[in-house]
Amino acid sequence: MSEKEYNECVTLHADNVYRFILKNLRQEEDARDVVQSAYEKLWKNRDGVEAAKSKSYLFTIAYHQMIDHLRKMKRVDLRAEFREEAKISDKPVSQLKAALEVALARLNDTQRSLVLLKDYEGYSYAEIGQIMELTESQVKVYLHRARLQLKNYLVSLENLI
Amino acid sequence: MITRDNYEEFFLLYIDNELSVSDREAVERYIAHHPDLQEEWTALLHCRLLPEEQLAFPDREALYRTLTPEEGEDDLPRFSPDLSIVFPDKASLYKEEEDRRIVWLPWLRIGAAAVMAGIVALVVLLAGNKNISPVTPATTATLYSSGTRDKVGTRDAVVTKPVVHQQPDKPVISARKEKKKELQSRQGEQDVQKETGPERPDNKDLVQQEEHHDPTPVRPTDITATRAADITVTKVVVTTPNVHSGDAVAALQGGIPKEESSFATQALQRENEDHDQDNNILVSAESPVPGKGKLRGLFRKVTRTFGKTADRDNDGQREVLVGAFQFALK
Repeated sequence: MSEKEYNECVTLHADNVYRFILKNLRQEEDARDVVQSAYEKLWKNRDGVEAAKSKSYLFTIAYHQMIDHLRKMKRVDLRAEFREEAKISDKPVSQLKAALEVALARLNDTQRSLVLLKDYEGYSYAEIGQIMELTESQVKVYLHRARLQLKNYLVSLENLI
Repeated sequence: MITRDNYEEFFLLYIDNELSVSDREAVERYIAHHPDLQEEWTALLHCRLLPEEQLAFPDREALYRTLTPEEGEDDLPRFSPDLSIVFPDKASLYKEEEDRRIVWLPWLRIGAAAVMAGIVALVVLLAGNKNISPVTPATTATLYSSGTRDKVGTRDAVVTKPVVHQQPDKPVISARKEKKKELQSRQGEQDVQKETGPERPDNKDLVQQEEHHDPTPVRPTDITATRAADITVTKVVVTTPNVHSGDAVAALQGGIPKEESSFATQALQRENEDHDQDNNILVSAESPVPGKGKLRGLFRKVTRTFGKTADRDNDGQREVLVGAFQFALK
């Protein structure tokens, strides 16, 4: 991977990686640090990375650094989640997008990453399995469970309203 | 084939875009034929997340990288030396090392002079000692008066027969024992000589070891013959290295049986037998070292030279002679 290819990777994929990390961490500063460190690592290892696989390599690095960051910071705060749930319950159902954000936040880290990689980046099961170090069948099962959770949340919310 | 049991999986695979075109069409036909599943199908379609394009990385410029010269790649410009630029006054930079002077230290001069003086003194000393060496080749005779050390040569002192060169020194104690035996035998021999007179040249001279005044061990190699009438003592030194004392006795006897030999010869024979016994006893204690005799002889010569010259008085002025040099003592 040359300097030019690396900079093209920045142009094409920096926003994608940032969105993926930001949706998981929900903290802009943390997401920015993770993306910067991911690109730093890509630069150091550019000699062993092919340009065609630079995106999946970048997402893989970013995903693992995000997991490490989550474990380190332990930012899971159930009380905050309950407050968000209460807020959403106050909003009208038409705000489907916001409800979906809340439903996404209720997923665990693996499910959320699976959904984001699938819907945001359009990766196949196999590619997601490479990034997240899962088998293709695991990706399929975990992702389907996540979809059903999201659907059930949205359906239950509609019933309440 | 989509059924009531597996439709949910087909719906999820459709949303995940993991179905082929034909399967997608099959799902769409199944939904159309089953309107009760339309609500569930709509809920699943709402669960798909759409990328938020407005979310962009805020500091993308910081991620762009350019290679530094140290990291350089082949396509980066490289500098090459401009050989046309030369230093104009290169001759002024050449240097020559100054001549080195040898500085002699004063003590080196003194040391060299001392070494030279020592060498000259040693050469002169060795040359002078050769003339007064008491160790002379075979059949040389040196006569000393009993009271003095002045040389006195007599015709009678010359002995043509090879006599003895006995093996090395013995301790003083054993030498003194031998002296006592010799004195006793000499006394008896003189008595016999007075009665009978000398019969053969071998028996004419009594064998006697030289009495030394210095405390150094008496060398048994010296066999001296004395005449009872004369006061002089004849010292006969015969250096025949490999001749055993017993052989020497046999040579003295000249083939005469022991019973027919003279009393002096028999005494000498007994002495040699005793000496052999002492040698057997002392063989472990005194190992003959050929170089030792020479070295000690050299030291004796040196001390003798110093001793002779140191005792000399010259008009009340005490002087010391060292070799060829004469020093006045204050």
